[in-house]
Amino acid sequence: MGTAPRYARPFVAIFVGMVVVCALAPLNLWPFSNWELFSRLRGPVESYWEAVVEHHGLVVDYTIGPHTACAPLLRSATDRFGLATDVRIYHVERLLSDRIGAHEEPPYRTLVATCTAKGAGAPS
Amino acid sequence: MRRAEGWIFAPDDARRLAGVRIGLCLLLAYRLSAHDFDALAASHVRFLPHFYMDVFAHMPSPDLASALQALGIAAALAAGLGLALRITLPVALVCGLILNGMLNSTGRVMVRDALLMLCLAVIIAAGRAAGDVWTVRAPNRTAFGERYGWPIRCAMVVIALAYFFASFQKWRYSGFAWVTSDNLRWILYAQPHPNGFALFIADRPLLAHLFAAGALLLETCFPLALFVSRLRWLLIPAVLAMHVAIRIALGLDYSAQGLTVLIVFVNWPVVVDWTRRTLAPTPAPREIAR
Repeated sequence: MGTAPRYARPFVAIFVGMVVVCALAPLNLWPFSNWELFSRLRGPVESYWEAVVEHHGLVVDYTIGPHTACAPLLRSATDRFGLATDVRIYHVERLLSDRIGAHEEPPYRTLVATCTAKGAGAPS
Repeated sequence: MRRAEGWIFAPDDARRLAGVRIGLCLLLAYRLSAHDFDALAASHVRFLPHFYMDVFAHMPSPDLASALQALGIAAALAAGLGLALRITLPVALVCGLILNGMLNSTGRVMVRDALLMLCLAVIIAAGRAAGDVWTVRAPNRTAFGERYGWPIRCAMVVIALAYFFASFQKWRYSGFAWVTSDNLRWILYAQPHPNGFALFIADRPLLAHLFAAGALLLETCFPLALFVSRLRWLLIPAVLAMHVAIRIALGLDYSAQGLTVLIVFVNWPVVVDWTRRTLAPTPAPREIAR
């Protein structure tokens, strides 16, 4: 009555084994996580890519992936904001230490390309 | 190895396993009710299926999400009461897996409810033992045996390994630089709108190093809670404090993980017996016989 079921020992071995294997491999077979949260060092520079679209006289910017091609970028901009004539792609770098208290300095933006219906153009 | 097996399969009080069952089921019901899953399903976010979510061709519909949420909450509450455990517990777990899978399929996998789901899976594996006492049908029954101890100890091992591996990965990928570099400061500064608490730590390099060292030491040493029961009085409040600090400084909600630790490590029969003794009316002092 009070003894553990026959499957208990193999269950514990396999279950705990899964936790160990997923961490060591590492595999993220959720809920068997690899527990890698915040494990890699962060540097003082945060860099990302930004698309900028002019929409009804307003400038709208949003983050994009590092290797986004022009055609899908124009398509998604047209879907979101109506007919987009051009989308400018910027590489943005933010120096995290570049701040005084809660006030942070604006990031450094470099124009990488301009996407138009004719294709991509390098900055002049 | 035999000592470890002897420890895991040592007999225990059935009420302790029942306490863990009730706690985890109530926590799951709360977690499922805390998210707006149908809004997530309706938001047309890009569906990037993670792991088992590959069985879905697209994000589950808002109607399906609402139905799973309601079913999951009802099943978790019924399992907490000890009703039809062989059905309600697996149903609650499956609903939780799909709904959490939806959150994990939006481009970022969340660790936060993973421990809760793992510990619930262990309670399901305990079978009928999880529903022998503290149920609607048998509220006052007591029992003791090997079948009640191993699920609790297995869940404890999983929790201890989770914290240990969180530190192991930091040692593996970053080494001692995780403490000595400005890593924690950059994590705190990199938020879109860091709050006063985050900036208070990030603006003071020494304090940031102390917080980083404390977190790494705590995670590395957490498995000691398995073998030295007195250390649980230090390690478990420290882990809860760490999750509260992360919540305040980074806005990341690890309450499910912290509460899972608390539910699994607390000896619930001791708490209940102590509460009963404390709340029981004290008999009036008898008149001394002449």
